[in-house]
Amino acid sequence: MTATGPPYRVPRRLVALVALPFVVTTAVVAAVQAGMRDRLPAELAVHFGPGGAADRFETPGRFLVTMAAMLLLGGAAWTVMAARSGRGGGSGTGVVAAVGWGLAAFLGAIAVLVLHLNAGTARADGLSLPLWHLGVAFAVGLAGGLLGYALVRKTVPDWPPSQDVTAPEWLDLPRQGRAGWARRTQSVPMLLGGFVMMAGALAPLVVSTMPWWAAIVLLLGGLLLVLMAQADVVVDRRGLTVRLSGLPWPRLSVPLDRVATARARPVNPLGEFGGWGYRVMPKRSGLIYRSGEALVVRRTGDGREFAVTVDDAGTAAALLNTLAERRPETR
Amino acid sequence: MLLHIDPGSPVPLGDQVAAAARAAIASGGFAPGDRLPAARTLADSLGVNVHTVLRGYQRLRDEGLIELRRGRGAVVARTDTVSSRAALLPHARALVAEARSHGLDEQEILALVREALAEPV
Repeated sequence: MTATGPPYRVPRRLVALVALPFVVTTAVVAAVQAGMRDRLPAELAVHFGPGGAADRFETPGRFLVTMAAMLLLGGAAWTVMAARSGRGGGSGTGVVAAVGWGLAAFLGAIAVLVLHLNAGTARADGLSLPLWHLGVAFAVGLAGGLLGYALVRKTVPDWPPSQDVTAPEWLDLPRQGRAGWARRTQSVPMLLGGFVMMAGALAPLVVSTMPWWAAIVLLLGGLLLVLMAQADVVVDRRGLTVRLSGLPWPRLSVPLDRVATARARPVNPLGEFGGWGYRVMPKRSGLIYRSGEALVVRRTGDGREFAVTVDDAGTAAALLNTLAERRPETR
Repeated sequence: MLLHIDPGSPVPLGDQVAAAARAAIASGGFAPGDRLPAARTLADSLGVNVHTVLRGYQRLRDEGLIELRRGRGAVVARTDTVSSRAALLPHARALVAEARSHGLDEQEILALVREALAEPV
C-alpha cells in the first residue's frame, strides 16, 4: 500500500552545482598561497585558541594539503548526500546545495585570511586572529550560500519535481463498533546517541579535568534525546495523535474535522523537511525519524501537511480517510 | 496495528482484541521482536478498559505468539514461524471445532491430521 514511484533521477547539473564550490575554493586557496609564497614564514600559525592567540603551527605545504583534503573530502561527502537526498525530490535539495556553498565559502575565507595574516611575518609565534576576521568569514559564507541558492534556482528551474501522487484509499469497515490503529515509531540513531551521551556523563569519574556541570549537561541532553527518539502514532475516532512514548506531553494531533486527505508516501527528510526530528517548514510539518514510508495528512483550512514516518502507514491513512468521511457518526 | 471492535457483538471484547492482534502478526505487519502498541494506548484509543486489552494480549501469550514482560510491554515472539502460526491458528481451531461437531475425540482428530501429513506433497 506504500506509494513507491520510480526514484527521480537527479539532474547532473544539480550534482555538479553542489560539488563546484568545494573544487573552486580549493583552487582559489591554492592560487592565493602560490601568489604569496615568498612572503610566508617557514611555519604558519594555523590554529588559534579561544583568546585568538596562535596555538598550532604547520608548514605552508602541509597547510595546503590539509585545507584541500578538508574541502575536497567534505565536498565529496556533501555531494553524495545531496544526490541521495535529491533522488526523492523536494524543495530542500536547493537548501542543501546552498549550505554546501556557504560552508565552502566560509572555509575558503578562513584559509585566505589565515594566509593573509601570516604573510610578511618572519615568525608566526606571536600572531593572533582578530575576532572581526571570523565575522568576515561568516559574511563570505553567507554570501556564498545565497549565491549558491540563487544559482540552483536559476540553473535547475524545474526543481523540485512534483511529488508522485497516489490516490487516497479507504477501508471497508463495518459501520458499527469502533476502530483504531496504533503503532510505535522510533529513531535508532537518536536512541543510540542519547545512550552514548548518558554514558559520557560518567566520564568525570575517570577524567578529573572534566567539570561536573558538563556531566549534568550530557546526562540531561542524553535523556532528552532518548525520550524524543520514540513516539506512539494513533489513529482513532479523535483523529491522528502522535505522542512521545511513555509521556503524556507533548502531543501533536490532527483532529478528524481537520483531515482533508491522508495518504502513505515515502518522504525525504533532507529534501522536504530540511532534516530529521520534529520539523516545521512553511508548507508542512512533521515528526521525521527516517526516510521512507510516512503517514502524510493534508489539513483542511490552511492546506498544510503533517507527516510522521511510521511503518504500515497505508493502513493508518486508509483508516483516517474512512473515519474522517464518516465523521458525524464516529463522533 | 489495525483494530476494529464491536461492543454489540457476542464475541468478548478481549477475544476481539486478540483476533485483531493475531491478524496483524499473521499479515507480517510485525516482525519477530517488534513491540505491539501499549495496552493503555489501545484501550484509550478504542474506549475500552485496559484490562480488556490485556486479556487479549494474555491470550496471544498463551498461544505463544507474543511475550509479555512487565515494563517491556508486548513483544512479538522471536521465532521465524510466528506469523505463519498466527495465520494458521484460526484454521486449526476451525478444524477442531468442525471435528468435534462431528463427535470425534482428540485421538481421532490427531489421527486425521497425521493422515493428512503422511500424504506425499
